[in-house]
Amino acid sequence: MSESNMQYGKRSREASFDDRDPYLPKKAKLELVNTQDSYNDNNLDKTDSIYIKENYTSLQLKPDHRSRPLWVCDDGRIILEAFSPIAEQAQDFLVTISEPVTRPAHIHEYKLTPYSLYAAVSVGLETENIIEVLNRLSKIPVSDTIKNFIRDCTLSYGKVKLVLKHNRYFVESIYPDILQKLLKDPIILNAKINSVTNKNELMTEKAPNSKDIQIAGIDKKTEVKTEQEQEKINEKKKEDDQFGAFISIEKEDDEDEELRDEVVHSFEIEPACVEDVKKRCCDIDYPMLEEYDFKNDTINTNLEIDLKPTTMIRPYQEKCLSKMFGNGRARSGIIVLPCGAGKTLVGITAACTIKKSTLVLCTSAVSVEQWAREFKQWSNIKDGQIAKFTSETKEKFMGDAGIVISTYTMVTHTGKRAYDTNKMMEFLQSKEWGFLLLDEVHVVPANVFRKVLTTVAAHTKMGLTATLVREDDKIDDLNFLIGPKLYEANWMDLAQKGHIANVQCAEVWCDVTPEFYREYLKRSSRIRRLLYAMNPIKFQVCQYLINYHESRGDKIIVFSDNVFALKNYALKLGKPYIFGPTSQTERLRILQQFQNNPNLNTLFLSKVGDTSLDLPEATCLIQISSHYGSRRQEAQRLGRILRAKRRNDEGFNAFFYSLVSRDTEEMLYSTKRQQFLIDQGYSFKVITHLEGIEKMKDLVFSTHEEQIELLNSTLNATEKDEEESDLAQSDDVAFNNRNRGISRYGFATRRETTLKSHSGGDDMAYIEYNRAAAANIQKKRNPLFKKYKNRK
Amino acid sequence: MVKAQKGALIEVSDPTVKSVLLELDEEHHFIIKDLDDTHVFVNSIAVEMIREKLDKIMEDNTYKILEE
Repeated sequence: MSESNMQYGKRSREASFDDRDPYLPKKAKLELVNTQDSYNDNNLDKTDSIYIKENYTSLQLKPDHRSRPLWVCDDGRIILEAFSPIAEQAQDFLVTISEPVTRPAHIHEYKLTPYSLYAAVSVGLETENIIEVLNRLSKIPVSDTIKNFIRDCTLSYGKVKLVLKHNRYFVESIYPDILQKLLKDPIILNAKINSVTNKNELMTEKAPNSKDIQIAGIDKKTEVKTEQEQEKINEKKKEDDQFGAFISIEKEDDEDEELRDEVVHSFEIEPACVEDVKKRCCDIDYPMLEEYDFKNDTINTNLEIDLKPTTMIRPYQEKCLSKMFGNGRARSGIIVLPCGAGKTLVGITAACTIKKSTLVLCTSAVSVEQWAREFKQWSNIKDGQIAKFTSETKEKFMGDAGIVISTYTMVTHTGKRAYDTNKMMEFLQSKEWGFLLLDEVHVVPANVFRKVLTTVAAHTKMGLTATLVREDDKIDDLNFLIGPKLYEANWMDLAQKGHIANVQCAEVWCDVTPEFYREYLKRSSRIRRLLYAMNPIKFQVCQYLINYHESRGDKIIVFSDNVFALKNYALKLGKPYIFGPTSQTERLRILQQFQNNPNLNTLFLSKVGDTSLDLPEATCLIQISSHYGSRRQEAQRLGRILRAKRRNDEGFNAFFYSLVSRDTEEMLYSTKRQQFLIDQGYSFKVITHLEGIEKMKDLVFSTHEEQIELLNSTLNATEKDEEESDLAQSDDVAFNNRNRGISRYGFATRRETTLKSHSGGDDMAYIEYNRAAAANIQKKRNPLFKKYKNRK
Repeated sequence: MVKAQKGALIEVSDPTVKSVLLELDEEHHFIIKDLDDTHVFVNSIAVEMIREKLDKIMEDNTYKILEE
């Protein structure tokens, strides 16, 4: 395909240009577009048109292409041969400059996007460097289209930084000419503080260096590391000999720092004008990166916090943190790690490194408790310095600095608030936060997020998530709202190294009985969903799998989104279940039994168990009904077994079964749901028949009559049976084995608290002593009370 | 009086397909005789239509990557 057929251009964004987000730079919408779309010939079937559209035979291979691992296509796609000996280094480089699309065992696909290039520049790569390395690794010469695209996207990105140090805002750059250009702009010029007589003079100083900083928890290992690093460098040198001068990403970082040891230029701006300047810079296409020079921040008090000496950080966690604190300052950004890979610890370590007031936002009250516990577990934070802010507890920390943990809804709620909630919000708004930690960022759509950013003033923002996918595209803007994606872990890599469990995934196809299928064809979609969940064959398969895995000694979780199905399955198979309305004590009782009782090996959970449930005992997962085609849910559910305790046993495998009724919509959803995991390198086996299922004793619904009965009860199920009440949905799973207060043997707990709360004084909120006012309150009583009063 | 009608014998692989046929029959009335679990005798004029509809229904439940 010749280059002239390709071009990059702006998507039809111009039409709605007025409502463009002021925080997004224009180039963010830049996209590589294939203009060669003239193959709408109906005579061609789909395969033919793909062949013609994606015909790359005209591309010239380099003579030594065999030793190079990449194909760089004109549409921004990069294909990596993951079996190549230098694939690992190439991967490191590609993760930095592009978005991983899919990473199965042998061939990986990546895509260059403006966001990813923005991220690359923000961690310190330079335009020509990117092009050069890409060219070196590619089997084919990198085309001018790609080169221009990279240049276009990176030219103005990351060149200007907004740095907060000594509590003054500086606009900083290593390119004095760009700063001069910015200063020609009237708005920016106005914001500049003229400390020197010559108004266009720039300050120059030595650039910061990563050697100045120690990330908490990593420092002790430095000496050991140097040896390893030396080895690595030696290895690389060998490779260099083979490939000319192949630059790996780590070396590049070092070189960059050496280069930047030279000088940076900066000018100071008025703190009040920061927002204006930021907007203006976006408008003129020099979006600023925000960096926080926390070591030199003297106004915000330091927080006494450090990791406990016993806390160990895993290599990939260290990698995340080194991206974040790469040049001795804190950068904002998003970190993507699989469930169970220790996101919390990354967050806590970052907080321990910055050592300033920290605000943690998470999705539910339960996660708030969990974060508080984790902070206490991994760091030496004092109890009084950590405060929770939820609808039940509203605490403030003691002293000037501390940690507040809250939920997104608490902070962004717009309606009426209770008095003390308002007080607390004022407190949050009045403070300047050194670090804003955002848990599970994918659940928060951009508009809610923007609100958080306007309410809370924070210097560094860090987003944590396992699944940066949504079925709508509301997360695209997060890159610019929080910051670029700093690190994305490779699931397969972590599984290989034993940080998360190896999982065998399987999709089990269950036939549908003719009676059920007849009804399925006739009914509305609500009943349809019920029918394919209640399919008696699926029932049998589920029973079979439970029996099989229980006899192997596995602990099993069965997931069902549909509450009607959940109850029926659990009751029929005689297993405990937990769903929204299940009371707190009941939940805890069931979960403890599940963890400790060898006779209870199976547990049924509704979608309350999707996230933030930590059950390291579970080793097998069966899914009988799910939320349409939600890729996120599938991945989150898989996350429940990734932290399996036994994961490091020889030959251990966790099992993930998804039961699907054949020839129904479920097949479609199921395939769609798997996409995310497949992109992470998981493969799903399809099982159409389970060996020995007919011979199994006591198989449920084996007779025709029983099946018909089931069908009737299913059809009579009302919407009420099926859905969890709203109250239940807002509530998250409130149980956790890390709840240390609860003893193994019973519910006697021991905790330290004030005498006031022991005597119930905490609940006392308001007493009116003023008689006139008190009388007023009495007047407003419900008529029912009047009746009582009269009787007396 | 004997009435003769030209028909075709359809053998189905599994019960679900037969369910679909019965469902289609309620609208189009092409089944002459429902023989057993896997065999149906239908009016031969309808065969082409049945094939088309059946394909469409089965296709609906398959996830196509190309659409994205």
